[in-house]
Amino acid sequence: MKRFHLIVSCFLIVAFLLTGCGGNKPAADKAPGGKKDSLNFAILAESKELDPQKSSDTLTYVLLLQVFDTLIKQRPDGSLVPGLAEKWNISPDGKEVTFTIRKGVKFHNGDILTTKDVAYTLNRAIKSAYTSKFTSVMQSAEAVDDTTVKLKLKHAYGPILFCVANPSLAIVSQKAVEAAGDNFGKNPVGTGPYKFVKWVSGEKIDFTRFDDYYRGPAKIKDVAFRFITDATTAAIALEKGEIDVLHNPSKSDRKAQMDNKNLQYHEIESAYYYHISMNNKTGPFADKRVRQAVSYAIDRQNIVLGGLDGIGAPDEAPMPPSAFGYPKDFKNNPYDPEKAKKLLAEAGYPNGLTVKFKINQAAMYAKPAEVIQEQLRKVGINAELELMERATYLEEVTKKFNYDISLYVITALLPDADYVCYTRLHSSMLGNGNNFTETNIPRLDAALDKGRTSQSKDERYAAYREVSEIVKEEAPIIPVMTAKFAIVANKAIKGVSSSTVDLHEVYDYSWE
Amino acid sequence: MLRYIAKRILMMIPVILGISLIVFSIIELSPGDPVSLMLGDGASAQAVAELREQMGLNDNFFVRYARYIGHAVTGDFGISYRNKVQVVNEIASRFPTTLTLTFWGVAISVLIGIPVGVISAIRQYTFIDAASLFSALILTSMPAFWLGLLLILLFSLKLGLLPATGVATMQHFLMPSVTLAAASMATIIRMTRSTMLEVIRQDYIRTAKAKGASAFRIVYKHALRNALLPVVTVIGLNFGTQLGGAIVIESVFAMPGIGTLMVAAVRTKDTPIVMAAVLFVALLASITNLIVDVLYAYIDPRLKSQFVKK
Repeated sequence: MKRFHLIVSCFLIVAFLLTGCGGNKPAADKAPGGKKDSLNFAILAESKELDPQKSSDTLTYVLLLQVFDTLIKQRPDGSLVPGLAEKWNISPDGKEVTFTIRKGVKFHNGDILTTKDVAYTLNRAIKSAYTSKFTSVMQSAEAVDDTTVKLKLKHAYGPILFCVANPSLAIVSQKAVEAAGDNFGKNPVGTGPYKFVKWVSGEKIDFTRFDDYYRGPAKIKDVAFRFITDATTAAIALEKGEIDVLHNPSKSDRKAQMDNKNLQYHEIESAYYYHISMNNKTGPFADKRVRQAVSYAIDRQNIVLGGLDGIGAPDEAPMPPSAFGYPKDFKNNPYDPEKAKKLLAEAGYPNGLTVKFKINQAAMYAKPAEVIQEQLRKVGINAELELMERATYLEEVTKKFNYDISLYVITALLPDADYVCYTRLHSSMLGNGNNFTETNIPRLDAALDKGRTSQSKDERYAAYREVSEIVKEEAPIIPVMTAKFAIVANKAIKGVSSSTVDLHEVYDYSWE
Repeated sequence: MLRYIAKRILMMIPVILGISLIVFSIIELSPGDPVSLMLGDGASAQAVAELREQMGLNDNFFVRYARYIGHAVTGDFGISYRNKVQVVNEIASRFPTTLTLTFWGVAISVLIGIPVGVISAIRQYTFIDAASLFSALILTSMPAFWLGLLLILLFSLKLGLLPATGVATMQHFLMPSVTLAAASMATIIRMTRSTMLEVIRQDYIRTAKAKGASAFRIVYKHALRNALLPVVTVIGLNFGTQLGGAIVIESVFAMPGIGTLMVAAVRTKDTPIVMAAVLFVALLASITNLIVDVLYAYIDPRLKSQFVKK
């Protein structure tokens, strides 16, 4: 019996020790006036470090925007408004942008923002491997005087202002970066409306209001960004009030959340679009007629219905509709299975053919891919679907080009046609997961170059209409559809809205 | 006895090394490039190449493995590819959650499993026996993520009694622990029942009855101690399984434990985190097995006497 006592006491000791481990009580969330003064914002994965120049994913962007400011702000409706730069000016040749920096802006550490910090940040972004997609056209930045920063470009670049507005180019404090070294991303210091408090690995990041914010202090004091990886759990937590805002909820909860009287649901056409990619260099799709056959074989409306449960819209041009340059009313090849069969016969496949259809296994690809597979089967293309884990997919398909046909998305991290079109279709972007269809069409390159460097809005629009026409005719890729970005929140929060770029600032929110 | 423990601890070294080689090979030789995953779509080839070089990913497999082990034995498990934090700190910050969860999972399964198993055995073929076996069957067949969601729906949403997510208080651990306990509880019930049934038919139980010992004394003093040996084995083995089961449960209840860390790391091919997390769990499982073996000796003096003779 002695031993039994020993075991029981060991058990009790361990139990008490462990119970002590997680004893911190959540802080009271009421302001003195009785009004709620805190907010729990849930995201469905843990973000990376909060270093703007080491980030390039939307999830981290949402967090960066609370702590940092960009020179130019991009609002949820897509418009560009002054941020840390009061105004800006592009030189006539388009190769130089001059920013006038706002005066008296403070960093969270109390320092005043200087043009040196701005130039330092831009040069840091130019050097960073993470941000090269936004900065590859930039040469260097320099602080001209106390209010002016000059950014030199390698060549004129249409979407340059969107690049500057991207959270990857948010302004950091030179002193804080140099002091923190590699740890800056875990101790971020910016000029934004919220100060970083602490990062609880796997659980949440806490922020608190920065009282000296240049646009005036935020209305909600404490904000926690919680990582909840299970979408169903997150939906329940929202319904129960454990969280107040949920970023990109699962589509399966959409109807219930829309019907819930205590919640507000906002959605908008996403900045990413689905496209069918084909191997333009080897295999059956090297023949233009076979690619065209696919473009006549697909019925976009049905793919939206079957693949996205109708929560999306067909997209006929090779860019999302929210992007600058989108050709309005552009029509791609219509759904015409007979024509598709004829084209296949001309190409030497009167009895059809069998191809490898490789996709990322995530449901967002698998469901639409099954619909496409069925549509292709109807015209005689037997597409053998192969689902792959994401890392494997990226390696096999987008880097080694070991596939015939695939379905993928690209997100316009800059809301401009150049970002998505140039990346996927220009011959200089071969390899590294960019132009993985191995598209190499000189006149397409020419149109893309024109869209990229032209200074005139009309000329740029014309260029992207031409790009769309060439894509329709040559069918190196086939645009399919866009999905939707959504945000769902407690009804008592004012200022929540959908965002074309999927970025949300808690600064805009207040409790009723 | 001490010599035996020392020997067992030494034997852990090749086991851990073997596991490290296997896991390292699986992550490193499976397709997918961590750098491309970090930089995302649209990164230039040059940017990818530079970062790969910086991170030392261009060296050959054996060089990297040797370098990893070299650092690991000195306690340096490297820096996470994704978060740039010391892996050791990351594991240390996540560990208490997983340990608390697993501990309560085991505790609940034992505290409920053994008494139910015992009652089931002494009331064999009664309604209680059938009911306990049936519930054991249900519990063991129910996937953890589903049971977890059902509990959340009932206790958080409908009744509003317990929080659905997080780890701030002990209440937060209740539903996850019960979910974790469910599957192994079933095994323990069945195991206890069958060994008890064997033991209560032994001669010495009849002798004890003949002596006029009370029923309680017979069951808990004479029978249970002998029946417990295989049950303890199961509990020990379960501990390893539960650490694995924690992976699913942590994501359902949004808990910052080793499990969610591992899942996120595997997705982004964050080798340093995956390696450290797996090695850590492996080490923990080995230690638990050792403890179980030592416990045998305490529970069963016959085993202890074997050591003493040597």
